[in-house]
Amino acid sequence: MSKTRLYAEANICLFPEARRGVKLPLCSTIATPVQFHSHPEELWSMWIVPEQPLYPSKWGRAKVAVFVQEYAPSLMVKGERFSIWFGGDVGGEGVIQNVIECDEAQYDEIFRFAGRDRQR
Amino acid sequence: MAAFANWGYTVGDPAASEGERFCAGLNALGRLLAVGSEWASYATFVPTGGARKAARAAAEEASEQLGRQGARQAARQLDDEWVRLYRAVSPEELDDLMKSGRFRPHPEGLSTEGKWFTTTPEYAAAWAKKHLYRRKPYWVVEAKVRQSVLSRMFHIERLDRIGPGYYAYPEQLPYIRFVGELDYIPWLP
Repeated sequence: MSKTRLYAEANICLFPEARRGVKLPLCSTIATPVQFHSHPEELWSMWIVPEQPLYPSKWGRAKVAVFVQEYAPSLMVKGERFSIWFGGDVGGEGVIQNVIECDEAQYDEIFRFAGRDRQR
Repeated sequence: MAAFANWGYTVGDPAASEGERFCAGLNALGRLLAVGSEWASYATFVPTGGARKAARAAAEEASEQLGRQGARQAARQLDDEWVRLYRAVSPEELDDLMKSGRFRPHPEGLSTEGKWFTTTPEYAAAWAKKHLYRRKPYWVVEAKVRQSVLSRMFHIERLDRIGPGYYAYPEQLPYIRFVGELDYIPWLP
């Protein structure tokens, strides 16, 4: 299969105030809007799959991907910072570390069909 | 009674009967509510026809006031009309909706605590078909919410360059009524 999908490994730090929007530590896959600092005018839905529990005020690692893959190459760029929105509040920050191309099956395995804990 | 005695005797015509002066000290609604109360009983014991006249006038005025209030309330309700929202859900979430009759966070705390909605079945299907459940079954469900609640929800005019998104905070979810699942999935090009 051709590598048509893009995801990234990112460092993520959730703010303690994020409690209103999400249960911390964040252990399961979520989808929530993010705001890329180089494109502050728009919000993009992003899958966030923690590689380990994400505790408030601590940097942790996650696999991330924007829903709309056609814009992924311009949004998910190494070093790009993004704010994570939980509802109407900024609940954390992230920095893209590595951008990875993969095929659809791999992408679906990581983000879409990760099991019963996937909900938006 | 002390409070009554204090202001009851400083309002109105000193030459009027106690009942008239008592009633004059209340607004029309207060006067109507006073009927049957200890204070109104006190007023009606006054041996003149003044109290009865005052009570009738108060009742008429109160009736007009209630009418005006009713009209204002009706106008407010008209402004606060129900708005339809839509959301794409997995079969598991639909099952939970059917059982509980309401939108709620994942019972095991595995999701964000609020929920996203959009304004048309087409937008809901666009997110579902292209991004959320691409090859998995999903349903589009309809909900309704009062305009006054909707206006307090977090709103993004164009999320993902697809369409409007409304985020209901956990405490707003009880105000969102589940109407039912659509018996079709909108066709998307």
